[in-house]
Order: sequence, then C-alpha cells, then structure tokens
Amino acid sequence: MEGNNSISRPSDMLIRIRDFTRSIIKGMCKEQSSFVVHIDRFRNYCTDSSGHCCCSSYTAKGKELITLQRECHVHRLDVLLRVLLIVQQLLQENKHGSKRDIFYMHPSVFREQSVVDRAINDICILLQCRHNLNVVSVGKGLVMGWLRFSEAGRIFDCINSPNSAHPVPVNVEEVKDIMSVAKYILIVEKESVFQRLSNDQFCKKNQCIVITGRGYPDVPTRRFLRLIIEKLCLPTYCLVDCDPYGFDILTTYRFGSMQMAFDAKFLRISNIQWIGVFISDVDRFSLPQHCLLPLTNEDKSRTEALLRRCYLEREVPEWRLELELLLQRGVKFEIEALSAHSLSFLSEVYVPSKLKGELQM
Amino acid sequence: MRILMIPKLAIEIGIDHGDPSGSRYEDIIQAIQCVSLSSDSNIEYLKSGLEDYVLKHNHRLHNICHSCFPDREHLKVGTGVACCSKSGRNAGQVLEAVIIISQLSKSTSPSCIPVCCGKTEVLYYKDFSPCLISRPSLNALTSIDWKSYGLTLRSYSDENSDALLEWENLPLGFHIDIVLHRYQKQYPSAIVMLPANQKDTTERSLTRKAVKLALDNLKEKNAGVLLTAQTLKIRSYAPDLARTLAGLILSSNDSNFQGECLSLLGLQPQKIKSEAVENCIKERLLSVIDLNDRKPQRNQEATPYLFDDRFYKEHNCLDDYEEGEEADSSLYL
Repeated sequence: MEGNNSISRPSDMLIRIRDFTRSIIKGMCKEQSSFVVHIDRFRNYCTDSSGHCCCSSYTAKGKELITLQRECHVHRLDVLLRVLLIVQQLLQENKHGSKRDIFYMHPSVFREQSVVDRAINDICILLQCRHNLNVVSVGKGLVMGWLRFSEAGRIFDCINSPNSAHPVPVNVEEVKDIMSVAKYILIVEKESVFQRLSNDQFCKKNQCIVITGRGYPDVPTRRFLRLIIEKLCLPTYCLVDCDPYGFDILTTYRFGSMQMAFDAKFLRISNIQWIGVFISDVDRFSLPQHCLLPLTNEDKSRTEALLRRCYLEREVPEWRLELELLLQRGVKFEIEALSAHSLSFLSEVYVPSKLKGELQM
Repeated sequence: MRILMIPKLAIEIGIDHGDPSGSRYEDIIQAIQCVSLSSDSNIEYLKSGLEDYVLKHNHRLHNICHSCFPDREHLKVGTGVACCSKSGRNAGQVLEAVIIISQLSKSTSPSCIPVCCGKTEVLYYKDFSPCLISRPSLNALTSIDWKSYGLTLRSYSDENSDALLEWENLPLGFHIDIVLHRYQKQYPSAIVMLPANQKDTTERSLTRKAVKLALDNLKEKNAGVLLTAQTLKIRSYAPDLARTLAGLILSSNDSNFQGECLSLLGLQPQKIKSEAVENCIKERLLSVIDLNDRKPQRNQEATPYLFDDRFYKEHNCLDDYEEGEEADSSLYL
C-alpha cells in the first residue's frame, strides 16, 4: 500500500478519481468489452498453521475482480461509484463530510453504515491513498492522563485535569505539539473500565495516559494511539476482558483488523503488552470462583476461530496459550469481576501489581 | 405443409371419407404463396413458413394480421440446424429448428389472442410430413436449461396432439412458437433402418443442439430478449450506474477530462446535456450486460477470482462489530 505517512493533496486525489473514471469509460467502450474493476485484496491473518503464509508482509494477497456478471458485484460497484462521486464533490469544494453524512445521502441503496465503510475502504485501495478523501469519522475513543496536544490549532491539555476524559481527535493529521510526562500508556477495552479508573483518580496517582476505544477501536483511535506511541516512545499495556471479544479487540490493536488490512502496517501496535485479565488472576488475587462465567456455544466457536489465526502461533504464542486455557476451562472472566474485592481494587491493586512487570504477556 | 413451404411440392393427396356434406379437404391443396428466398436451404423456407403461420394467427386468417403485425420485423426469429455428420448409419440426419417470439399489444382484438396463452404448441415434421412429436425430441425439449434463456418450463404434454409446452410467468401478450423438422439429407433415397436406441440418442442430441442454436441465434439478433433472471436484475442497475458515471464526468472541474470522456463515448462536448450522457452510458452498460448474458454459462460461473471470496467471509466471523460509528459496543458496558 503506497502513500505511507505522507498526505496526498486533494488535487492528487482528484487526478486519481478522474483516472479511475476514465478507465471505466474506456473499458465500457471497447468492442469486446472488458469491464473489470480490480481491487487489491489485503489480509493480516489466515488459518495456515504451518507458518509459511505471507500474512506478515503488507503486500496485496490477490485481487478481487468486479465485473457486470454478478448482481452482488454490480451492487458493490453502484455503492462505490456513488460514494466516489460524493468524495469528488467534497474534494473539489474543500469540504468534509462524515461517513454517516454519506450514508444518509442514499440510505435506501446503502442500507447499512458498513456498506459505506467498505466502499470507502475500496476507494482507498483503488486510489492508493490513506484517509485523504475528506471523509471523517465521528470518533468514539476517549483519552485522559498526562498528555497535551493541539488539533487544528485547538489545545487539549489533559494534564490540567488528568482524570477527565477527552474525545480522541478525528483528524489525526492535524494533531501537533504532543507533550507528555507519562511513564506508560494503558489501553482499556471498555468505557466502564475507563470511567472506573477516572473515578478512582487513577491518573493522579499514576503518571500515565489511559485510552479506550469503547469496544472495537475505530480508525481515528488507532491512528492517534499509534501517533502518540511513536512520538513519546512509551511502553504500552492493554487490559481487556478474558473472553473472545476482549481477545479480538486486543489483536485488533496489536495486528490490525481484516477490514483495514490494507492499512495494517500503519495502524498496528507491535510492542503492546497484554496485562490481563487472565483466568489465572482468579486464583492469584483470591477472587471467588463465581467470577468465572461459562462460555456460551457462540463464545466457544468464536474462540476456536481465533485460535486458527496464523499470527498467534507465529508472533504471540503465549497469548495463544492463554486463549487455549480459556477454551479448555470453558470459562470467561470480565474486568468488572475484580470489584468482588472492592470497587477500587482494579485501580489500587490489580493494575499497579501488573505494571510492576511481574504478570504480563 | 404450409409451414414447410417446400417449393417443389405440387400435390398432396387426400382421401374423402364419403361425407355427403362436402369435401372435408377443401383447403388441403392450397397454393403456397410465392416466396422468393435468396437461399435454397430448407431452413429458410421453414423460417418463412413459421413466420407466415404466426402472422396469420396460426393460419386462422388467410392473410397477415396487419393490426397485430404492421411488419415482419415485429417477430423475433431464431433458427438452428444440427446435422449428424459422422460416418455410419446416422450420417445425413438433419434437424432444423425455428423459434419465433411475438408480442401482441394490450389493445389486441380478442379474436387475435392465441388459443393457448402461456403455452407453445411445438410443430413437428419428419421427412417433410407433419406428425406427432417423437419421444426423443420431446425429451430433448424438456431437458434444455430454459432458465438460461429467461424462461421457466412449468409442464409439458403430448397426448394425441402436438407437444404442448407450458411456461411460467410469460409477460402478457408474449408468445413463443417452435417448429422442428427432422429429415434425412438424401431423402428419400437414403433411408436406413437403425437400432431404436441409437436413433433415439441421435435424435435427442440433434434436437437439443438445433433448439439451442435457434435460441442463441434469436438472442444474438435481438438485444434484450431471452435474458436470464440474473441479467434482468443486473440491467436494472444500469440507469443508476449511468447517472453516477455521468455525474463523475460532468461535475468534474477539469474540462479536459470531460472532453476526453465524452469523446470516448462518441459524444460532442459542446452543449451536451446530462441526460444525453446518461443515456449513452446506459446503452453501453446494457450492451456489456447483454454480451455477458450471451457468454456460455460455464464462463460466467468460473468467476476469475484470484482470491476466493469464501475465505474472506469465513475469516470475518468475529468482525461483526468493527470500525466506524455504528460498531456495537453495548456488549462491553
């Protein structure tokens, strides 16, 4: 995927849109018509356990050929071209629109937000650009702690009030002047855990930055996280539930998602350390056994699917062992279960003990 | 006999059963209208004969019905000829097929409406004589993949009459006529007695081939006819695709780019209206779609993926809640 961290100018994007449109018109007008749109296919994992797959490289793994021979292709092309027309208008008028704005322009055609999101990804791959389409997301990530930065001239001084949540900036390209005296970054899976730490004044007692994607992290959250890690060179820890969802969120931060596989190189965080929660924490911290909940059948099938991902064995075998243990024991464990001791057990005992370097992965 | 239009046939003998009220064969010997055909081939005569048959409402009329058919171009005709060219006892077997699709308007007079709506009476000739359709030919007809031609065969029958094919969901006024003619090329001198099963297999395969050739011929000559259900769905996207592509061209602030695209489309850049651009693009798209429909089915099914789409779907089982504002994070609160 070209483009790396350099920002393509709107004029460059417009040229690429015109080239793409021209190629479609040419293809349609040829005598023996060869109407085909090629979209590079990216993946960041597979189920090949031999270790000989090429998922760790960031090159395209094949192509999708979109033709006029299948209805699903034609629908996908219809969506893609509609979004492309909107993007061209935004770039020409120097305006920005959100993905949700775009959805509401043709809701009966798009039907779901994910359809628009996929079209935008397709366009990024086709035009070989990264997030330079004047299409913005409404970010859902939150950050707090010992951090200060500016975005489009506006200063965000989290240090003044380290336990107050600030929204993660959406236009990461416009984030500048990053300053911090934090000693580490802590990523937490859920907003509830983030609020727990905030209520317990965690950042006042611990010089750190806490960030949450509120579930699966969106692209702005991951881009912002990657930016501050690169700028500040801080160790990064991740706290997720011990269940398939939590594990998948952990791997999203660590390896990227399949949907954004084309951009995984610039979104993944390679040095993230998983500090919990683990099944073994129940005994280690003398938590009651009822904190462990049984896995549902859906949990089990999802866990089995996770275990088949090639990067686990290859790059984080210790994470894989923990996941196998989860499946073997047939139980899961949520962060909130730590409240069995006390509400502040998480912030006063659990996290500090983990960060002493004893019980991490 | 009027369908075969055999120019050299002069006399047909009929036997009167002694009906005192008059000859029952008054019309049996009828002068065939002189038809000048450039070719001397039987298939052309057969085609002409069936066209006459249809234009005269199955010969219920003496003359062409001009109210229903202002001209012959209203008929969509396809022909196919299959020959057994192998050496041996089957050599010389020929099977000709002609298929005509006609569509009557909504204001058609009741007397013009076909007797069998939604049904096709398959006319069958063997060695230049009308007869009941043979079992192998009927089997061949029912074995054809009619859905690849946008047709669904509901049922068929052949009891004591010509074979009758009944279709599902034919548009109103839409009618299909089929005639088959099987003969020996060197008739009558080359009649050979063959084992029954060998004859049946040959006739079945010849019938299938001839009918498919006729259907393909009809599709090739008439755009938008006999399209599969999938093609019809794909065609429905053409107006929207055309509108969007026209928008990408005409809303661009690069006039050179606009000129290039319009030139590719064969349009004059000056004073061009968006509707004209849309229509032009739409016609091009429809042409591509119809061309795809005419490709052999095996080519359409062998989608040239370099990356199997099933893999992508299997390995996204956990990515239901992903990216963007609409990701469902309620599980985690």
